[in-house]
Amino acid sequence: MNNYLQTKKTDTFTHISTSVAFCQGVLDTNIKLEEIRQFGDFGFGSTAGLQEAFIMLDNEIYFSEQIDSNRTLNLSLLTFFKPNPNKHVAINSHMNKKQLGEYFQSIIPTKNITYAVRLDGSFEFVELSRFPSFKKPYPKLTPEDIDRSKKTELRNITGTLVGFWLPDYAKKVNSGANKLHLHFISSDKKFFGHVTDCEIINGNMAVDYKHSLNVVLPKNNDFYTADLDNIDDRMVRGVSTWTQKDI
Amino acid sequence: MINNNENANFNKDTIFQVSTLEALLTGSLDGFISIKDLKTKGDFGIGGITGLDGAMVVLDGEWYHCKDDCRVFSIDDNEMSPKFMISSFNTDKRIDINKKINYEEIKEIINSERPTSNIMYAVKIEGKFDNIKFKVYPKQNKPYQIGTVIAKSKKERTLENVKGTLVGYIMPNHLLDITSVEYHLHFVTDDKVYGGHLIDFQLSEASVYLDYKHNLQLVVPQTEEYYKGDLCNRQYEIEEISSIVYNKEKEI
Repeated sequence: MNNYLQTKKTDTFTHISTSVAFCQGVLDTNIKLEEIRQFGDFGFGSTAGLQEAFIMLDNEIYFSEQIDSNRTLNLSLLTFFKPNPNKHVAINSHMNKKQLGEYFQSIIPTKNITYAVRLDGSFEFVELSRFPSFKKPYPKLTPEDIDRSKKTELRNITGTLVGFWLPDYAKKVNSGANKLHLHFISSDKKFFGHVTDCEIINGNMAVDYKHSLNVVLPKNNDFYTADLDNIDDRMVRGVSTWTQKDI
Repeated sequence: MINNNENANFNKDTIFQVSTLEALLTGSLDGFISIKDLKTKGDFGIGGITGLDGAMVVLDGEWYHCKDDCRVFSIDDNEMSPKFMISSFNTDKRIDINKKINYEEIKEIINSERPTSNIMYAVKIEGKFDNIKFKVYPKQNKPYQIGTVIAKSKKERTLENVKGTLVGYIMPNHLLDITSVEYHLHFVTDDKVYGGHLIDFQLSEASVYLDYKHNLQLVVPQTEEYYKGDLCNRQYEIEEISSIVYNKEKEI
């Protein structure tokens, strides 16, 4: 059978909810945490209202705190990680996040598909940023909310970058499209989060080509009633900058 | 007809989209998924085959290939598609219409009756058409022409006082970078003799069926042609093609 249709487990990247929905205060979906293994074994996201963050690596889900598996998800990015055998790259020189992004764009064959990226390495530092969380009724987010993000800096640490690169046509699905969107988890699994900057000492990067993009829209009243056609540009830029600082 | 067992396997909330209009515009007109494989994804949909040879309509598990002068032929399972939208169809909402209206007017009715403009809809319109105009493209051969040239090669047919079904999808604005157009409908007559891509109609009686969809699964080709295509900034070209297809450049 055509390999394109075996995509459910091998070649599909799933994006639960969208950036435009997020910017308009849609912070919940009908997808439960316990359901995410059908979408992948690799990725990251958060639960409703950004209450808890999670990262998924080698089919293990790591949480910021113990969460009920019935919790529903906010924005989440997931895939089954099956790296392209020709795209294992050793990184032996120092690189910051911006340089990694430029290097990544120089080794991909096209900007018209989606990529999943894994980089296991040693880091001089990793700067993580945690978005504020919200309770119901969820507000429409503002650029000031982004400014309330909490930063953590980890120094001299080993761990794994878990990331995605989305094509331009997915820019309303994810405002970080066209750029590397990276999360990090330390080797001891004690720290993880969204990466705003880092300095890689050395590492090994694996890249997975994805030819299928699965967008899951929220099935709830907040999404049905959101005004998705009039998004505050300041907010779109704010989220984009937050996800892409320095690239 | 596809039997119920197979039906149960379709993801009922998913529209499976093969490639994009932007990819077609950069020359990716070679099919890369077979009709046989598409049949595993749904029993309702619209699309085309390699070289845009006509237009496909899938209704109740039957696959109709409209080509040449908009006549319906059967399709071989081994034919390949470069562009398709396929899904299941289960009615979430029905709207009955008992007055004379055209395409633009029925869009207004659907847009005001649907629960939200933010999700996707599979749409089926069974109607008695006073007149209906639809088109197909003749088979394109390599090297493929640019989109506007292909659009001008369309073969139209107009039928009067005919019963038939419109099959297609309605997409929200926020997904247009992927789905390209808001309304995309194909037509097939009740007697399954004629069909094609809808241009316009006037109808006097219709039942509109909407199926609410929340998942969009896009699959793009793994080909050099697709990899090297410049998919960005195609909006002007798409508008130009749309005005040729819908005859807007001369009528308005």
